Amino acid sequence: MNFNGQHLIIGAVQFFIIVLLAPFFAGFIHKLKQRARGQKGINIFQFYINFNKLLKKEIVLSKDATFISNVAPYIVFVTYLIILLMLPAFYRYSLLGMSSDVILIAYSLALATFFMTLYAMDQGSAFGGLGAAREWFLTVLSEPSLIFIFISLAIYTKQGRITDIFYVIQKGAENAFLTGSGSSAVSVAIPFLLFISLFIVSISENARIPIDNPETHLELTMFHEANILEASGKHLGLFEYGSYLKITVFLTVMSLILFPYMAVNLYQIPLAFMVYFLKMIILCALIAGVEIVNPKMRVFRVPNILSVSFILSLIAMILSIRRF
Amino acid sequence: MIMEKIAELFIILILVSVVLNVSSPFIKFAIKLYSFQSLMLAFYILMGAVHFNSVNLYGSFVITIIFKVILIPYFLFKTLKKVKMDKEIDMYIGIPEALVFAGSLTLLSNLIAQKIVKTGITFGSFVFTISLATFLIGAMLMITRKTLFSQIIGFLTIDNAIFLAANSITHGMPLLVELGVLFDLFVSILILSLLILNLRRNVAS
Amino acid sequence: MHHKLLDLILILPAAALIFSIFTDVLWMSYLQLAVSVLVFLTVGAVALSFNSISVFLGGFFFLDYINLVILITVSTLELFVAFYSFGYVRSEIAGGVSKRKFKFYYFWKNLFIFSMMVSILSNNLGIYWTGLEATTLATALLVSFNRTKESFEATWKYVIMCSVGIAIGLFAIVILYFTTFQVYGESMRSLSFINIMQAGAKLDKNFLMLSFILALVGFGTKVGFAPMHNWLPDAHSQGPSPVSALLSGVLLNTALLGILRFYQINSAAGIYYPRYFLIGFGFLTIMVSAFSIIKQTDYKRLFAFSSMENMGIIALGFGIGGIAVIGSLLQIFFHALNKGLLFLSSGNVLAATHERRIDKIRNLSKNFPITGIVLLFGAMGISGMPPFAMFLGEIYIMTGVFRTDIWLGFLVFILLILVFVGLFGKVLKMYVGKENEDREEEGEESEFKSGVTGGAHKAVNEAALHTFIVYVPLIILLFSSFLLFYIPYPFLHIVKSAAAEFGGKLIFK
Repeated sequence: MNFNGQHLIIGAVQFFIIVLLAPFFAGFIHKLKQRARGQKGINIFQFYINFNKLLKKEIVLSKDATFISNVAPYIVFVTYLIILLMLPAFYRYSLLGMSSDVILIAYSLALATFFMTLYAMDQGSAFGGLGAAREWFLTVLSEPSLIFIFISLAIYTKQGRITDIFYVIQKGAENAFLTGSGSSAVSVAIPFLLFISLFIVSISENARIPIDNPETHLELTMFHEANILEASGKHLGLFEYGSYLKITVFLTVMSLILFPYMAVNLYQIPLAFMVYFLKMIILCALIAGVEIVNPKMRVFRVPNILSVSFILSLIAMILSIRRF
Repeated sequence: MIMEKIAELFIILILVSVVLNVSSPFIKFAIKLYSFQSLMLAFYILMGAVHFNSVNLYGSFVITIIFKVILIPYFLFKTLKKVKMDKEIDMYIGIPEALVFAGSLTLLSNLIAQKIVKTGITFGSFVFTISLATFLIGAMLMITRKTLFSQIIGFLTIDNAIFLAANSITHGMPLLVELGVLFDLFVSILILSLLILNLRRNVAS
Repeated sequence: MHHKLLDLILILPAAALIFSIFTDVLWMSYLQLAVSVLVFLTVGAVALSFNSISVFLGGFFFLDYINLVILITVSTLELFVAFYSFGYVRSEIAGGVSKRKFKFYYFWKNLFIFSMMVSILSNNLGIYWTGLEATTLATALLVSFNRTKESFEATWKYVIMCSVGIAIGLFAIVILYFTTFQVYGESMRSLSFINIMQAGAKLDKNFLMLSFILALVGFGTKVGFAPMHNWLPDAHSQGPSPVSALLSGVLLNTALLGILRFYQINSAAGIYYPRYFLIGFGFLTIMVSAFSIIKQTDYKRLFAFSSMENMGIIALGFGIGGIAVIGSLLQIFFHALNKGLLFLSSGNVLAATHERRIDKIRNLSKNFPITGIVLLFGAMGISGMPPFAMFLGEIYIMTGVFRTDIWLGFLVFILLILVFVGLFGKVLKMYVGKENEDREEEGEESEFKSGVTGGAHKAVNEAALHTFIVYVPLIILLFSSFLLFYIPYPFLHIVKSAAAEFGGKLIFK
């Protein structure tokens, strides 16, 4: 990949657009859910307002807190930013595209979770430890399928970097469906399996309803919220924004698996952006739909659904190994 | 070309429905999944029928819809209603373990398929892998679950796997043979339902 | 002339099936006798005039020496069972069982015979499969004939295990179709056994290997090979005795025929190692059943395990090849007769005493003079003792085994002795064993009481039974003994030709 100014600039613009859009997507999901329940619903830009307000408030820390509490929110937030820097969304290159290894992305997600749970425990409250334990219970179960998803993508396309992976998929699909050449190398089954698997993983990682409820503050049902219960002011704002970024990361990867269409030059960008935005809206609606339809699951049944995701990604990997 | 890809989607949906079946402890859901799985199988056969324009496969599509998608699930539901047994199934091993086992069975069937399949089949080793995996997971369902109904579901899953394999040869098995096979299957389901009813009555009295 | 007769073999059971729906039970028993005699005579005429493979009914059915042997077996045993049923129905109806139930009995039995004939004679493997699965379904309701909890459980096990087994067999057929498809394309010829044999060496060997293994496991479930056998003792012991006789005597052979067909196809393609699978499964089956026989407490289960053991011996013989194949083919016939007489005569004891446990039945020599002696000598015959025909089959097989591998022969021989000791010892105790006076008296009294409260009083000796069901087993016994000394030449010729067809060398002329 050669460096040139155009890629850098468009990459940076792409990054800023996604970061700015992240609260919008989260708000959109929330709004959809509320409307489906018959409520009037929040302002769709409410999460921007929340973030702005939280930044102005003062930070209250427990007297037991160490320096970790001061550092962790920034690390979590910056980690998600870095992941978004690596990810292509509607342009073929991203700003950190040359080092966007899939393994790195998978473990960066784990790093952010790690610091969030450290923050939770550092506060010394009862809920912190509980929330951390629960969070890791989920993360440990969904980690293998996340890794398998990325590895099978890598094996399927024979590429290591996430920008190249999706570009190869896009090229293959274009060749196969438009010109009809090289159709045997393109599989529908593998992306389909990966999509289902990633969907389940993102439900669990982003604390969505069948597994966790992001809106509740009941101690029995909290997973994600218990971790940031003690956070306030700027810290809370960063954590909240971090969670919007996280769901955006997952949704973007899903949108790319579902229908990879990325611009390769300047002129395709408007169309590519519109396609990207549409895909994201559809996926948001999908997630909101799942949240509305399903009741919250018993915790002991969570391993079942997560192991389904694991097995599906395993099957995808088996099938993608077989192809080459 | 596009048809081939859609057919591939149907095939993978068959496997996905089996995996979901392993993950769920509810009988009603299992029967619905079986019906869905048969529907996917029928659509797959339909794809082949349209592609090759084969009367044989059209016939196979119709009888699959009639027997597997409609009649058999209907009778199973009816039996289920009569015996009032709609609760969670007891199992010998937990669901996550069973799922991991199912994954390794898929790996095994992939190895076997790669070893022996060469040419002459529409999708080659892909269909063979999926059908062998469905077959093995169906057998696993029968072994690891305690309820009589899940044994029936496992048996039906095995049968679907065989049908998938049989119909992936260019024009499928001869229609006469398929009709005989499906009729036998249907009668055996009737007899098994009858036996379930009798067994329950004996337990109750 | 040939073809007309061959068609008749299928048409007669079908006609009996249709008659059984409309006819009254007592009339039906006469009709059944007539049909069975006719089938037997037809098969006899076909066997006498048979000289080469002949295809009939549009190429879907065919007759060669191997399925002729099984056909003769089926028709002979069916003849005896029809005579037995004649008496059985009368004596059960006299005992209070409703006529309607026996109408069902005749219907399902004829369906069973018909589907068995279809699968034995089928040229098309798909039709073979359909017929075999139909036999499972037809016998399912016969096994649960008594409508007790045990019989329903046995039927459940039987239907689910055999259906899955046969489904695996279907997978084998599908895989075979994969390979033959490349030779014949899309047509019935791709499933026709004769055409597959002709294609022979052109077939893909990997696929054939897989298909044989699947067929062995799948149809082997229905034959009762060792790891897949646990439905067999339950199902065979729960049904009415004539049905048990048919199940043990001929249905197992019908399933074995499928494995033999796959074996022949493999041989035609130049693959010879399947014989080791047959030897392995055969030996394992003998071993498992021998040890099960020793600790059996239920006499019908005892005989069911003995069928399993004999199936093991037959499979072993086919695997060994050469002279042992002749032994196996003879064994198929003789075992059917001998097992038939054992189940029929033990059915008499069961019908009179309603007791299944071996230790509850003593002193048969007093209460059941004829049935007792038939049981005793039948048990002797089934373990291969000289005055009965099974000795001949077993000596051929053992000779073959000893020639192939002396240690294997030694092991099998020990197991056969074990079987003899277990089986004959138990039946001997039933025949002459001293009654445990006080306990046994109590038992008889309570039996008597329960009989009274149950409504239908049963005699505890032979005199109350119908003449037919007492003497039919005796006739089979005499016939079986007679066969040891004189086997009709046409039958011997058929067996030798079948062995040659199977690939065994002809030792004597």
